[in-house]
Amino acid sequence: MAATFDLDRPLIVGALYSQTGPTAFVERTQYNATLLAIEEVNAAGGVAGREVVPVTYDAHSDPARFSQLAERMIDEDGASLLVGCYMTNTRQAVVPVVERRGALLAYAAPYEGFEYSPNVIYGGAVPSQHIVMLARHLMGAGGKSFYLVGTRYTFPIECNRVMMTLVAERNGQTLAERYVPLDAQRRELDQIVQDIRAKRPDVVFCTVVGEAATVFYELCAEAGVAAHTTIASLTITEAELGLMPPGLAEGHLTAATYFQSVSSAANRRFVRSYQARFGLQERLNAMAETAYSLTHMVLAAAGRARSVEASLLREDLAATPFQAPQGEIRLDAENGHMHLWPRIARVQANDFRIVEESAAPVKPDPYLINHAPPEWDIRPPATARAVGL
Amino acid sequence: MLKALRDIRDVRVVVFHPKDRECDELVAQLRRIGCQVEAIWPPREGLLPLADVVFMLFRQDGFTHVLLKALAERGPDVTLIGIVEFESPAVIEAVARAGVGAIVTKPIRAFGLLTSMVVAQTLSTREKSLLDRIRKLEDKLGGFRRLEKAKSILMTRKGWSEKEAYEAIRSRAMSARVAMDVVCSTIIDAEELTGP
Repeated sequence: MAATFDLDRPLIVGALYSQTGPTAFVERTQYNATLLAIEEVNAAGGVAGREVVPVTYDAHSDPARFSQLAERMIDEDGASLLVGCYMTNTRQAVVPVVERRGALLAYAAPYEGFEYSPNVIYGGAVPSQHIVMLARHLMGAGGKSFYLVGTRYTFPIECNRVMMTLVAERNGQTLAERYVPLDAQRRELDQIVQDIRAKRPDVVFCTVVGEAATVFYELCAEAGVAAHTTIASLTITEAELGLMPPGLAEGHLTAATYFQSVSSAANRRFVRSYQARFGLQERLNAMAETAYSLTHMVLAAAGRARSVEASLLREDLAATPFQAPQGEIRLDAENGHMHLWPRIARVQANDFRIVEESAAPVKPDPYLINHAPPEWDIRPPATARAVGL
Repeated sequence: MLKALRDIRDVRVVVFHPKDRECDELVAQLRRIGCQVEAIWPPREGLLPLADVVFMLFRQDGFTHVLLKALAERGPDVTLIGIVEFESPAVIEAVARAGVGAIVTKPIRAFGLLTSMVVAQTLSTREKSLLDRIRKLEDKLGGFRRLEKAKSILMTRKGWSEKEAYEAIRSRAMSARVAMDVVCSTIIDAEELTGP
C-alpha cells in the first residue's frame, strides 16, 4: 500500500492535529504551517507532478483519537504520509499504527528522546539540543537554586531529570520538582506559585504545557515571582505568549530551535507567507516551523525518490539538507532525528529576542542519558556565540 | 543515577546473530544508544572477544552449544542477553539454564533494547557482588575451620589448653609476620605428613 507511487493520482497527506482541546492553540499553528508547505509544493508543481491533498480531523488532544484518526487516514482516505502530533503520548499512540502499515509519520515537535522507529522522522529537538545550552546559560548567569514545575507526562519528567543532573553537576541545588495534570486548575497552580514565592529560587524551570501555562504565568506575575527569579522554559513559545496579556512573561527565557525573530532570508519568507495566508496578526513558533520544514522535506524527498516508502525517504533526506527558517537542517541517517539550531531567547516587549544561538547545527543524540560529561562547563563552548546580550 | 544507566556508553557489546537485516537493526540501535558494538557470525570455537554484554541467538545447533560453553568458562563477568525465535520448552530451558539477564524476542525491534540491557546489567552486577560476598564468607569460614583444627592438633600434641594453643598460633604469626591462617595451614600440613 504505502510503497505504491501512482503518478496519475493525487498524493494524500494526513495532517494529525487537534483543533480543540488544551493543546489546540499550538497544534492549530502546526496545522496551518503544514497546509502552507503543501500549498507551496502544489504551487511549484506538486510531488513529481502529483497534486498533494491534505486530509485532517480534529484530534481533541486525545491520544486514543490520534491513533484512530491515523488508521482512518491511512486505511480509508488513502494517506501514505502522516505529518503532525504535538504531545509525546499522541505520537506514541500513532507509532504502532504506521509501523503495522509500513507508513511514515513525520513528527513535528520536540520531545524527550529515547525512541527510534524506522517509520518515523523526528523533526523536533531532543534534550541534548536545547536543555544543555539553557542550563549552561542559566548557571553562567549565577543561577544556583532551581525549582522545577511541569505537566505530568513523559516530556517534562525526562527534561527535569536532565536538568537536575546538570544542576547537581555544577553544585547547584534543585529545591523542588512539582507536576500538575494537563487540565490543571488555578488553585493547584497557585499552591505551587505560593511555594515558589516562599522558597525564592534563582530559577523556575517550567515545562507546564497547554492552557495551564498561561494561568501559571499569570499567577507568577501576581505573586511578583519575577523580582527574584528567572523563569525559563522549553515549551513557552510565541503561541503561549499570544494567549497572555502583554507584559506577563517579560524577561522570561525559552530555549528552542526557532523563534519568529530569527533573521534569515528563509525565515523572512516563511513569516511573510504565513501571515499573508493566515492573517497579519498571526505569529510563528518552533512547533509550527518544525511542521513547515518537515512537510517540505518529506514531500521533496517523495518527489525525488518517486516513492513514499519510509526507508527511501530517510535515505534521501539524510543526503539532502534543507534551508529551513531556523537554518540549514538535515536528517541524521543513523537515528532518524534532525540536526538543528539551539537558541535561547528572552521575552522583550511581548516578543522573543534571541540572546544566544549555536554557530552550527547540533547533531541529535536522542539516546543521551548522561548530559554532564566531565568537560561540561558553564562557559559557552567555542561553537556558540552570544547575540546582542 | 543508576550505575548501569549512567555507564551505558562505556559498555562493550558483542552480538552473535547471523548477518541479516535484523542483526543490522540490532547493531544500529545499540550504536544509537551509544555502546561499542561488534557483530560476530559465525562464532569461532574457543574464542570469545572481550565484552561486557553478549547478545546471543539461542538455537538448537552447534554454534549455540559452543558459545554457551565459552561463556560458562568466562564466568559471571559477562552479562548474557538471549535472543529467542521459538518459545518451545527446550529453548526456554536452554535460555533459563544459561543464566540470561534478559531476553529479546524476534523479530527484533529497537524499542525495549535499552531497558533489557540496563535490567540485565543491573541483575548481573547484583549477582557478581553477591558471589563476591559468598566467596569472602567462604574464605572466612575456611579460616575458622583451619584455626579450630590447628588448635586441636596443638592441644592433643602438647597437652595445651585451647587458650594456650590460640596464643601460640597468634604469637608465631606475629613474629613471622604472616596471617594466623598461614600458621594454621602449616600446622595442619605438618600433622598430615607426620601424624598417625
